Amino acid sequence: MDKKLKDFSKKLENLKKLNSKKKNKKNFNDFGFYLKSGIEMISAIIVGLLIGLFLDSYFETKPLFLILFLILGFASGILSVFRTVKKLGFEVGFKKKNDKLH
Amino acid sequence: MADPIHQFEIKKIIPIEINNIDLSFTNSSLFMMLTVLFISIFLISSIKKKKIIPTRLQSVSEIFYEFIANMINDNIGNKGQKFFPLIFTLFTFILFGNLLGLLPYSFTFTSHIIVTFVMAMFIFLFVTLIGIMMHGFKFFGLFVPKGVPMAMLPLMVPIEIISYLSRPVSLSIRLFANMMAGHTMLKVFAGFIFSLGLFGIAPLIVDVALTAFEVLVAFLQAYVFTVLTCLYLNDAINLH
Repeated sequence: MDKKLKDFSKKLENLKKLNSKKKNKKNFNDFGFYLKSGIEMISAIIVGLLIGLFLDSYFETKPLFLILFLILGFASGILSVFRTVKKLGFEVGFKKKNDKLH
Repeated sequence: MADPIHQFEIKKIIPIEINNIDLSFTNSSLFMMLTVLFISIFLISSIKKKKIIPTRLQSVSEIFYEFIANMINDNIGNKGQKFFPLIFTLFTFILFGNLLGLLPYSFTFTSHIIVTFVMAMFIFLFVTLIGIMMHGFKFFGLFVPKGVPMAMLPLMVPIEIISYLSRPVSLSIRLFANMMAGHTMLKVFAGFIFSLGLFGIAPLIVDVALTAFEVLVAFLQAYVFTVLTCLYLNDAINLH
């Protein structure tokens, strides 16, 4: 009886190990995660550029706002990539206490 | 030599022009309608005879349903279930559009940035509206990151706003770029097959592998698009 119980607990342990290994595998989810970062950088710069161009044509202050918002766009691009790589989640702002995403 | 860009050309099938606005029925619109038609036929025919033990077709549509329901539960929580129709429609529309575009002689409407940008812009406006409707003025607290000293706020708030505004741009560029690059690559390699004669077997092998990869990309991009929509909705609904 005792032997049976031990055998069973061993089996159970092995299965648990297998399960946890599977979870650590790079899955479908992660792949999408890394695909994201490159485009994130570019799109932030594009938005900064567009805002700068618009404000410049509105206030006729070429190229003050263009330079300002390009720098800001660059910064926000870096921030987005940083968040993606550090897996801090997609949301605006810093890491929350119980962030579900990784 | 075959032209790899030719496949993206928009052709007018029924020219319509109202008040100098071009509203023609093009091959792009044709394939959007075909996509909707295919989805409808697939879903309706698969659940026509509801069985406790599902048939093969029924279990495929059940997998789709559970996949999206789980995605919403994981990313938004129970509150998000009322957005199920939107998310499900988005996912199936993009997925079937991508897959339909992989067939020979077909057209991939997701490889045009205007199509993906309109979808992304719609989601962006929708999410922002939902956020303002549910939280009112507090929604704009999204732009004030927590744990940042007051002196840094004048710098951080514009950065956060740009980061927020870049969402529809990155969402649309990701889908469009992936689809366009994949289809161009397929055609470029296909062009080598005949011109290389006997050695054309090498690009043929590459093309077969690429086709399989494109199927993966079709699924992956549909998944990424919807999962990001879920995450944006989560931001708006569960404001921290």
